[in-house]
Amino acid sequence: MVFSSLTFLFFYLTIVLILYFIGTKTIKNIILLISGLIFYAWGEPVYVVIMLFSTLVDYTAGMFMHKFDSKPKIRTLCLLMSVILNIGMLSIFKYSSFIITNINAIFGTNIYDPQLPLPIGISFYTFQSMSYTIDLYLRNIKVQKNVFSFTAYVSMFPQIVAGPIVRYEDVAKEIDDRKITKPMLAEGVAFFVKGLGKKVLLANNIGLLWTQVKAMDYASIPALTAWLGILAFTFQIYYDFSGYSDMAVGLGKMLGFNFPNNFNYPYISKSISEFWRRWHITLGSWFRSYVYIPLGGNRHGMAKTLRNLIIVWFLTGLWHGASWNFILWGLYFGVLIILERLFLGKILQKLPSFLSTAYTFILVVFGWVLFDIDTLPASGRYFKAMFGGAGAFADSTSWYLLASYAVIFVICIFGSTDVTKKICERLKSKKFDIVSVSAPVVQLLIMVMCTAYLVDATYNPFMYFRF
Amino acid sequence: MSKKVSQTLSIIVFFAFIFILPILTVILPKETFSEAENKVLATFPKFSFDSVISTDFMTGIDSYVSDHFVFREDWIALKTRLELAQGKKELKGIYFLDDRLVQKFETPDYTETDKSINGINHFAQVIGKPVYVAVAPTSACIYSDELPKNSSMEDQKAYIDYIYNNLSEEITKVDLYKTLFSVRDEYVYYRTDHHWTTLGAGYAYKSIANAMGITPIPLEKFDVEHASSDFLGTFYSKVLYNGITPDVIDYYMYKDGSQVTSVIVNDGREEKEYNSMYFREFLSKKDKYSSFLGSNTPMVTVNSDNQGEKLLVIKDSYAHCFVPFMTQHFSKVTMIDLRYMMNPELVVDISEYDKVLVLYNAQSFSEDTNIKKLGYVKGAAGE
Repeated sequence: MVFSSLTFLFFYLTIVLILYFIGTKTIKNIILLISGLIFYAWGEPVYVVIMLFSTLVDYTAGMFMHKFDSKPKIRTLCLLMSVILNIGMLSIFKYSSFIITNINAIFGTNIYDPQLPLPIGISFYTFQSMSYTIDLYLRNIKVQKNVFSFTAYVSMFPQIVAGPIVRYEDVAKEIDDRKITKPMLAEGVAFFVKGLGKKVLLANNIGLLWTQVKAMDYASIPALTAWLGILAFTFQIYYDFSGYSDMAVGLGKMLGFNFPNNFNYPYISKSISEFWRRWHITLGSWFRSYVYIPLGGNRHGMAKTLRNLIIVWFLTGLWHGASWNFILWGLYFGVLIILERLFLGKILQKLPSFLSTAYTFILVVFGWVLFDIDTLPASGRYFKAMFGGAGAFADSTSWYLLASYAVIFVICIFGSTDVTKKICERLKSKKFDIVSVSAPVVQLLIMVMCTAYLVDATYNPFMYFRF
Repeated sequence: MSKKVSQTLSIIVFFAFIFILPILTVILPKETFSEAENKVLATFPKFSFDSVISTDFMTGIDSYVSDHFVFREDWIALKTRLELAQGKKELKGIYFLDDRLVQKFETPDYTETDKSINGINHFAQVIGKPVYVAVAPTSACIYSDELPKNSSMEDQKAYIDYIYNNLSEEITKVDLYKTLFSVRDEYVYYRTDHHWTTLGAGYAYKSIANAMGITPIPLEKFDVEHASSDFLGTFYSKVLYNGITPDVIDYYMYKDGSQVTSVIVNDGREEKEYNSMYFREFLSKKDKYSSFLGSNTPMVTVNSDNQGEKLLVIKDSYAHCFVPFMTQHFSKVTMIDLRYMMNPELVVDISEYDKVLVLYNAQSFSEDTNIKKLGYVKGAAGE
């Protein structure tokens, strides 16, 4: 199921929340568990078994680590089991086709490719439940003895299909003991409605422009059309992804959880390194904690630091999809971050901030070309078009698209900066707090508009099916 | 203080919203057909192990919820307004002109078009009777200069020219573009529907009659009855936009001319006889255009007290308001719709007719893959 659907918003959510609020403390986790399984099975009625299996493996590994607390070898074995099984599942279901095709291409072999469909959200929940066994091994957290509570943590509907990647550590206390307060509920509503608006009103709308441009012949599109197209995707993926995260955080709050924030105005970053501290924050910090630092981080000299960075960025790219363009996209950022570490960062600091922001934004936009255009030759043609390869700067179609999407573009640009937030904060400090007072009205308006767009949904994609 | 009140309000508004709408959706009576949208609404999916495993059940629920959501039509109308407010002028393939909606003409599939053309050429060759082809432009073509600035649309006139240039010489082609363009300031196309008006069909009648060597009756001699003035057509159904004046449906009657003796509708199962070409029961429904000889059926025959020749019309729905004019000159006019038959010869005895008219609008000519069935006709040679 997806959040941006009428079935979720007006039936699933309504029923689950009623049951959840009237349920006693002990029953709440069971409701969470069952509702999570239904939510997941709505889209993956078969693969739900795989999710349960990998959850149970991690739960069992945790119990064994706890039981053999004084036997380091058994503990290590448990961790290895968990990691190998999780990564193994991920490899089979997400990467087997990719690996087999490449081996066949390189060695001329003819290995059979089963072409397994990818279970939705597998990259999110595998990373979530792995964080539990790793942290338990590192003694950062306590064991979860209740199998229902642990499964509820993994299969909780707010974050199961599109993040944020909530580590067990983040919710360890809340999974066993949580309170839902009025301010939390109100905050949850605010987050959820904001996220819904981002996804349904902004991302879907501007995404329509990208689907149009993406389908054109790159050899003949003028520069303006190419830029409009990729900028549309730039905003689509931001509003879609961060909208999803906001909805998840909001739903979490309604259920009594405080999930980590996943986005923090990434497009105003002044360097690529900063961008990745603001974009999909939970993924970056996962790789940092569980890959980069265990590899030694930056503590063993420049050569090893560079090696570690390349590994992390290779994996980050690969995480986004089993395809070379994602790997390239990851390495592209890896190289930029290395350059920034070596010398570029110092230069960027000296530049006026609009220049460093422009530098970052443009490089990120180039990245999206690699990200969303499947093959290298095609993205090459697209780059060429962006730099006027097709000759003309603009044709009548460019102007038509610009006129049709100007309003939504302005809203998207404005909304991706922290200007609105700053204005709101200033207004909030005034004697008459107009922001708080108008919040319910604004939220109602957003909900009404979203419902209109959902009832008449012509374009409402789920963008993370390759993650 | 104000912050606490607003928090409470936020919570109440949100929960009221997600509670009230589903409750209304469940308790209010369900329609099976949406008149305004002109669409059959989804039925509740069957629950079974297989339907769950294949996710058919879930997608079925999703479409059921969407189709029966409370105030569905109002939500769609609101979305249209929100889209227009952003400055968009095009929605679901419909362009919003100042005072009318028109349908975007998409790039035609020329291989299919060639098959249709070959079918007609073959047909004209084997039946050995005069064949007339009239491909009518749609409103998008006639009013293409009013399309939103910089919008690009396939040139429909060029498409019609392509068809005419590839039809064999023995076929008479009628230039309806010229006819209709010259009267574009009159009410020749519906504002909210994809058809031409009876007046538009009347002008086409003049051109086609002239091409057939028949002297048409001047349109001024007809009595015009305004049968309905609140017709909202297929374009309206797509976008549910009420910012366009509803259309008027006119019946053109000529009391001094030939009178219809019987109308026989063959719906594929049975034949029914009527005594009028105007099926007025449709005027109280949404689909008012169908009051012209009913909705699309395999075959409709109109007999009149005229003693002249017999005309076969191979057509799309544009013919429905056009055929009444022809009954002034033919003793029998039969229209057949190729979509409902494998081979026209199996349905109608072509040898009975004196003239054949192929009448389509350019949009449906480009989309309909049934015209090529004319190529299956064996004609006089096959008998």
